[in-house]
Amino acid sequence: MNDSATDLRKHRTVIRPRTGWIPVRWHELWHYRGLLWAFTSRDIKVRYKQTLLGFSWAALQPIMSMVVFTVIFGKLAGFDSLTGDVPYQLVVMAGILPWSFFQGALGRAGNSLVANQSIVTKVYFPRLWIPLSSLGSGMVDFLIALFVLFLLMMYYGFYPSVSSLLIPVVMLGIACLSVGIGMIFSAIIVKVRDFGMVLSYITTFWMYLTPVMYPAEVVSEKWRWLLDFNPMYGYINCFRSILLEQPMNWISLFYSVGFSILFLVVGLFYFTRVEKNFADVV
Amino acid sequence: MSMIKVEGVSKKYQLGHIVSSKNLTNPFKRGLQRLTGRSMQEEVAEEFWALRNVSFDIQQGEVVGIIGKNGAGKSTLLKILSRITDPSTGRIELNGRVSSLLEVGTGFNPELTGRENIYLNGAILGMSRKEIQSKFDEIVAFAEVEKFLDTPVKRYSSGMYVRLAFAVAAHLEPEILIVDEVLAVGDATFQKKCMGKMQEVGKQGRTVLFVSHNMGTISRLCNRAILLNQGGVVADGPVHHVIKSYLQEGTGTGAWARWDDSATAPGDDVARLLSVRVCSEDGITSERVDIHKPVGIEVEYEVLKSGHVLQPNCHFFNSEGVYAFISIDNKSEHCDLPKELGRYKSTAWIPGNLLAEGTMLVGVALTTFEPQCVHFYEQDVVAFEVVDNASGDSARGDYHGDLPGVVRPQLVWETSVSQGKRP
Repeated sequence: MNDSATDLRKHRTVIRPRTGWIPVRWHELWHYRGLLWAFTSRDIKVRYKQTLLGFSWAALQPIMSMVVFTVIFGKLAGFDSLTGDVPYQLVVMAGILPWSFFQGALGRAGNSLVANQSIVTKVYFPRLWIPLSSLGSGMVDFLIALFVLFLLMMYYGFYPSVSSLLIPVVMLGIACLSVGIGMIFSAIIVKVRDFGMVLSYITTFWMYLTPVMYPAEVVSEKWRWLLDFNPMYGYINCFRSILLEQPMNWISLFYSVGFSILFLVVGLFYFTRVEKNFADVV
Repeated sequence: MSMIKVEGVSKKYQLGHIVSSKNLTNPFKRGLQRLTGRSMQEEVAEEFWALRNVSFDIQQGEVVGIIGKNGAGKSTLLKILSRITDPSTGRIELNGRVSSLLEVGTGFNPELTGRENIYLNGAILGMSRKEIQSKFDEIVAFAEVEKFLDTPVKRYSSGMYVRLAFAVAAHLEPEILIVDEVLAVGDATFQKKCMGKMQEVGKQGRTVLFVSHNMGTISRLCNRAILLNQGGVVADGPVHHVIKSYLQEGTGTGAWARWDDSATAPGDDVARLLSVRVCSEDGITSERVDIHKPVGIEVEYEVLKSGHVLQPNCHFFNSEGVYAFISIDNKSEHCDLPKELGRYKSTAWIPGNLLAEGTMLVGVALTTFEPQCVHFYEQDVVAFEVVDNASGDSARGDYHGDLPGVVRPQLVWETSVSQGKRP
């Protein structure tokens, strides 16, 4: 009897009103780690259900964007002269891949609480897993597209080098950035849906400000330092340099990593502070 | 030991509420209104206390029913206990792992197969993958969906869907289980199975908190009940005692309901309800009725617009929510002729030796059938209790045990023997 009593005390929970900043409950997050896989596999499986092409869409989408951007920016705007011996197609594709991962992860993380509101209002679990789980399904798309990019590179005579092993590091940085911003937005969108629209405009606008479909050389030397303050610039630049063996811009990467950490920390704290109200305001 | 200890818990909600023109508090909108001359609206927050100072203590192994009318605060209480939302004040101590089942199939994804949903739902409810794996076969067998495990659940019948969802939740093994009205779904056989499972959970020494509108289920499952009204605890004790006070509270005066102000009384511009009363043969209002004696339901209403054929009708439910029967006034004199202005009183007489023992809830309506129009329908407007004093001359005879059923008529029995010897 004493055994069971101590056993029960081990699981004691005290519920009381919480105010102010609340620490992230890491042990609880770890206890519910199964949710990461549960939510991720759900999103991946549901993604291309009842489509004829299935996962081929993950390869087709970046290819189609690449064709469009190459025609408009490469040929019509004449930017293809700026990329040297590297074909414009490769430069664009190496920009689209990390960018669509970022945009997808940010969009999904931002809208994740609303998308999962039926669970949020009915059962308790660490809410953080909801935005955190929104990274996985985009990662699958990214890997498929990366494979296509490798094929395309080889077609143009570029062979992936050992430095490709740094891709996971870049992707981790992008993941932290997107989920950090995504957490902040999700906690706001859950209450005020307008910010869902705002988020989609911000990402569209942001894409034009980032050298995704054009090379960074388009921006004149005088103003290029401004790009360092774009948290995505360092990652996209780094990604291109790794794959296409161009010189690295370490300063911009340094800034990007800083922004990632900043947004991740702010996101975590803000999310944890307001999560207790989600079920009431959603 | 105490498993759930609730001390002075209250919950406040902010309700949005639109005011217009003169009562604007937003100075910007007020200015804009003055400038444009157009009347404006704004939303004003209003406080609403869903729970007020609720305290109780639940011991290990207790199965407790939470009852109360819609809006009494039952769901809010469950949401706080299952940590979905924070209380505004107070403190709760839970000693043990808690699982809450506030909805059947939380997180089910229609696109995923039965198998995939078992894992997903299990993870959301807090089970580890290993735990789900070890119970997988048991869950599938309980839900009776073996053949459809690899079919997306959107192709399931609603019965299959509910069975699978309940099965996953029923195989959780928490020390404290919080359940909200999930048994209201599924067919009768499955409901029975669920009830069995719930009783089993209680017998294993685990603590169960159960919300339902079905008094039959509550009284069968629980040994204790807590009655909430307007956010506060109004009764807490042995289940039958609490159910009785709920039924009396739910029906206002019990055997007699009346509306003094005809403007707020149920009804429309044709007719309004004045009063409903349960009475005995000698016209005395009575809450308790002898099973042998007839009982009358007297409906008084006022006709405000002449020229309509108005037929009162009564709807009878037992305490388990079973629809016992309906009776329509289509036999009395002139009942099929249009009614003139005035006050009318109609009484439906239920003969003695028809209803079973227990509580009967009565709904009263006034209907025009051609073309069909319901002028008012008041549910659970009065209630009465049928009592058998077991004198031996009722349908019960000399048997003193449990006699289920909605009706208990005295039937004529004939017995003949075709083979064998008479004693």
